[in-house]
This record gives sequence, structure tokens and C-alpha cells, in this order.
Amino acid sequence: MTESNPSEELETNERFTPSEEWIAEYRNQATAKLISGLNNFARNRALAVADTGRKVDDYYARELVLDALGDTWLGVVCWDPAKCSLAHHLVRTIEGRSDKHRKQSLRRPHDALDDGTPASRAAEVSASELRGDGHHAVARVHTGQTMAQIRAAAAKDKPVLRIIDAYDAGCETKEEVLAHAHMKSRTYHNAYGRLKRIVRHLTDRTLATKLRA
Amino acid sequence: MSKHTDKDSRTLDIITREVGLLEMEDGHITPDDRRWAEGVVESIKARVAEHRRNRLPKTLPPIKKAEPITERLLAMPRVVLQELFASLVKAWGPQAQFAHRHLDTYSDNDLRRLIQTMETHSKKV
Repeated sequence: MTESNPSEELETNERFTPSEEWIAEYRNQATAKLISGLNNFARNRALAVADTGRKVDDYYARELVLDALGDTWLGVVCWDPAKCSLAHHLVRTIEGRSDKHRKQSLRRPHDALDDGTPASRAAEVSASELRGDGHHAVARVHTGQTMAQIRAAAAKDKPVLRIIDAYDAGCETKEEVLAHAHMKSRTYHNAYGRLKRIVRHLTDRTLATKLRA
Repeated sequence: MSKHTDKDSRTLDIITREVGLLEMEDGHITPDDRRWAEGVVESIKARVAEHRRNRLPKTLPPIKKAEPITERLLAMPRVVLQELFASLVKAWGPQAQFAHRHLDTYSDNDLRRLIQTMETHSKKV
């Protein structure tokens, strides 16, 4: 399938005027099921962004989805219904933008109260009148420690650890992991189910608890 | 950033993408998330409707006034008008279709207007 190019942005003076066919496709494909699914995808991506030290919550994930939908409608990111589904296009847009946020955050680290970094602890000492939310501090993933937490949660689960090791070794696709870890497809599938639960637990703890309470 | 962190960052990137896709397909959706998604769909529908409204012409074309009834028809009494109308209907055959079924309730001027419309159309054809 030929993919759309979400990173392709229109010139500011070029106004996007969707055709009736385009509008019908957009409206028909943008269902509540797709949007809630995209929100699940964005929440997982938010975990990777949180790992860089940027503060994220459920609203951040929802914003990723809304921005992708809105910018597609406005033509800021190009979607050609003849080339790919709206779901595929939006996943790529959310993935690209969350990746951009990760890289931005890595380039310009942010130290804030209750981050658990030496800089933040120093800031807390000097700003004694400002107090972070203790509960939130416990729930948050500390910068760069997410993988350590995933590994710790999967400490007794060898297949999950083998998948992670395969990624560490440079694998990316399922086929590469299976070949590297000498793993059967069924073992991989079951292990990924358990890895999904670990990541979901970590995501739920990391994103703001207020919204999902 | 250390090399180890680079590796972790890459692995986390892959895992969050792959797990994210699985969660997208069959992940748990809270009632709050479902309500939110339904609200987004409604706002999309509203945006599409607004877009379509905006594409309609801002001003309607001016309403064309009917031509005044000719002196010839104005001079005809009702009996003559009814005969003329009947002859036109006969000439038109099945092409003659009217929205009104009870033409006997028409006023004289309504009948004149109807005849004039038919005659004008006959001339064009």
C-alpha cells in the first residue's frame, strides 16, 4: 500500500479545499471506535514521551488525536483516501508527532519539582514553599527509567525479556525478533500479551490519574 | 545521552508503537474515553455541516417576477379561457401535467396565468 505522507505540510498560502468524496471518506472513517482506539495508541506513545522527562497526561494523548484529526481536516497533513485508510494515516501522524516531542524534550530537558532528578531535588530544596503532589510523584515514570521498570516487571518472564533483548540487539519487526530469539510465533504472541499488560499498567500509572479515576 | 540510554530509548519507542497498535485493536476503553470519542465524532459532523453550509452561495439569485398577463388573455371571459385551456391540454397530450387537480376552483387570473405559461412554453418548444 502506498502511504500518505503526514509530514508533508502545505504552504501557508495554499488553502486546502477537500472534495465531497474526500469529506465523505473522512466522515465515514472517523468513527468513535477508531477515535477511542487512536486514543489508546496515543496513550502508549505518551509513555515514551514521559520517559524523556516531559510531563504528559491523558489530555496530552487526547490532544495528539485531536490535532491529528484537525490538521488532516485542514490539510496541514496530507491524507489521500485512495492511498491509505484514515486509521493508518492518523497512526502515522500521532507516531511522528509524539516522536518529535520526544526528541524535542531530549534536546531541551525540563527539570521540575518532584521529577526525582538531582536538578529537581535541588530545586525542591531551594524552593521550600513549593511542594509537589506526593501521590503523583510516586505514580510518574522517572526520566529514562521506563525500560528498567518494564524489565523489572517482566523479571521472571523469559519470553518477554527475550523480545526486549531482541529489540536491544537491533531487531524491529516480528520476523526479526522471532529469528533472533529463536522463538515460535505462538510464544511471541502470548509474550506480547503479557508485555501489553505491563506497559498498560505503567501507562495508567504514568498518565494523570485524575481523568481516569 | 549515554549509549545505554539510546538503546533503551529505541527499544521503548518500538514497544510503545507495537503495544499501542495492539491496544488500538483490542484494548480496554473506559466509558469516559468512549463518551469523549463520541463527542469528537459529533464535533466532526458539525464541522462538516458548517463547511458545507459555507460552500453554499452567500446570496440567493434574485427572484424572477412573472411576466404580466397579456391584454389578449385579460380580455377573454372565463368560458373562452376554459375552452382555450382545454385545447392546449389536448394539444400537449400526456405532457400536460398540473400540480392542481381541481382547476374549476382556479380564479380567472390563475387560469390566464396557467394558459400564458403553457403558451410561452409551446412557443419555446
